[in-house]
Amino acid sequence: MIKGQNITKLFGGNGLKCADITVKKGEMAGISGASGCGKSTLLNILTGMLRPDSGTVLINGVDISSLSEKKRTALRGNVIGYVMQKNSLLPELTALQNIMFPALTAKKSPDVKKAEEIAERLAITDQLGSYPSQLSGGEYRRVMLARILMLETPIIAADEPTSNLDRESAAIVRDMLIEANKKGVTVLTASHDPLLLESTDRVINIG
Amino acid sequence: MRTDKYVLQVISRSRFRSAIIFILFFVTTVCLFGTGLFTGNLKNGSKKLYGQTYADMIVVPEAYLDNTKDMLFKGKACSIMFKDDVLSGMNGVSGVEAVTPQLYLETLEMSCCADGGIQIVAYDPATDFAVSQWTEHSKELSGYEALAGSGGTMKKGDKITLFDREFTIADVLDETGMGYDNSIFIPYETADEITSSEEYKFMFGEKTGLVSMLLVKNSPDGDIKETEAAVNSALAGSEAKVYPIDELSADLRSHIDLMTAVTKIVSAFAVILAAVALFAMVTITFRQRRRIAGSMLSAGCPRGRVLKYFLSEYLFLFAAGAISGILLVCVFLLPLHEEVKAVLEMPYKLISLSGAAILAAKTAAVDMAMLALAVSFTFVGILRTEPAMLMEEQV
Repeated sequence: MIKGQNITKLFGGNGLKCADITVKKGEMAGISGASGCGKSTLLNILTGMLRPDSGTVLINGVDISSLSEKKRTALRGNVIGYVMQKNSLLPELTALQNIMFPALTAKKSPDVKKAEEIAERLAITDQLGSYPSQLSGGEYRRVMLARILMLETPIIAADEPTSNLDRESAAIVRDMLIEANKKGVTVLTASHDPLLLESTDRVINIG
Repeated sequence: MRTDKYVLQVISRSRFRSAIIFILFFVTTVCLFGTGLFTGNLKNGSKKLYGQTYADMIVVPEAYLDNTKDMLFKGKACSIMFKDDVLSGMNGVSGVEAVTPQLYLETLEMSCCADGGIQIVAYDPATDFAVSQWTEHSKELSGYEALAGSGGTMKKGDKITLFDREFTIADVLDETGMGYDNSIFIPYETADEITSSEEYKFMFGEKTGLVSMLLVKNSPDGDIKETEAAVNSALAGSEAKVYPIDELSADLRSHIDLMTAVTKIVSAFAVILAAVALFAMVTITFRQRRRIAGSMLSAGCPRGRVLKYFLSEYLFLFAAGAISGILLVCVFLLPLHEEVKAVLEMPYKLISLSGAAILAAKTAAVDMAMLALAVSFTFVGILRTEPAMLMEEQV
């Protein structure tokens, strides 16, 4: 379960103010709100990528705000998979290497077959040997999602996963998140995409 | 992902950035190691001019002073001759511990030896204290035995014909860095026999009873100025005068010091420029590195591993640049050693292997310090920034 209380993070007076959020285990929740209201900031805080100015964040009962940087990083690899809004693939690695990067960096033996299966479901099999700079926007976003799906974390957080994608790519990403949720993964997504928000169990408006 | 694989892939994908960093380390290494080796060789060659000299004083005719300097320190041909009766006048002079004569017979063009020819020098094995510094065999030389300087291709046991007589090379001197490197030494008695022969007199003129120089060793507790005065007093009336080696080598030493200083200043400028360029390169690519660090952290890669990836890339380029630089210097400077020595016209002797290894280690340490300085700001920036903020555009 994800529970955030009175979360505040301000950047020069703007940002997130006293936000509360609760997402139950196995739920698929959407976060909506006007641009600049702090959706990405909230996801960054919930995934341990950013410390809040005040407030608490509990992930499965553990207050991650008080965790060390090392433990928060481990949390992202083992408990929460985070698809960022910003382009976050490693430019010098191929799509396949990017997908397997979390496993490789954790010194786990890379499961190439599993990576290829995920890639097939995301329709990026032909792009596995390509470098990020050679991918279209839709392909890039799908590789980012594949990297998170490889981790098989119980929670997936996705920030605007379908923004700037063509209808076909957006549908693939949406379907994959729904499919993961049906397998029991808790999904939390910030989005402006009405189709994606309609697919969630609940939409939390933060402003 | 294995660090070496990741690093090699990053380097091959970021060729321009990697090439610039490699070149900066390469240039720094060539400057530091190259100039260090060059000035080290100069200092090594001129060691006998500073501190421990191979002779404390030299007796030569005053008119031949410049010729003496050229012959001693630049290896030029010697034509100094004066009567050897001054030798007997040196006996018992206060402060003089030992005196030994040397006679420069001829400079011969030989296929085995340097382009400028090789000097045939006669010395007295019984009283010698100069040649013995570069070979233990000098005291035992007799008959048709000869000692070879290190500049030629001769080896111990080789036969060589000098003045129609066959000599056996009894030993090869260690490199001296001076004119001795292009000389062959024969015993005084043998030289006497040669110069007394009619053939020699016909070919080269009368040289019996002549000497080129007397090398003087000051007694350990003797004041060199007092000994100089005493010797000059004993030589009164003759054309010869005694000169302390320090005095003879003063110009050369100041020349070497100046050349060393200028070389070091130029090298220091090159290193500073390379360090600034490396710092700029690392800073310019900082934004890209921040995003990559943020991306790795978002995927659960520990911060220590992120820094290890970055540092390994720099270390790989540092190692490649440093090793290439040292190899280049060795490949160019070592085979051209004799040529460099000839062009310089001053004492020049290769430093030892351990000396070169220490110099290489010092060069690597400077490279490492430069790298540490350049990357420390980047690394501190990455360590202190929240992962989400690393992904932001503004730096």
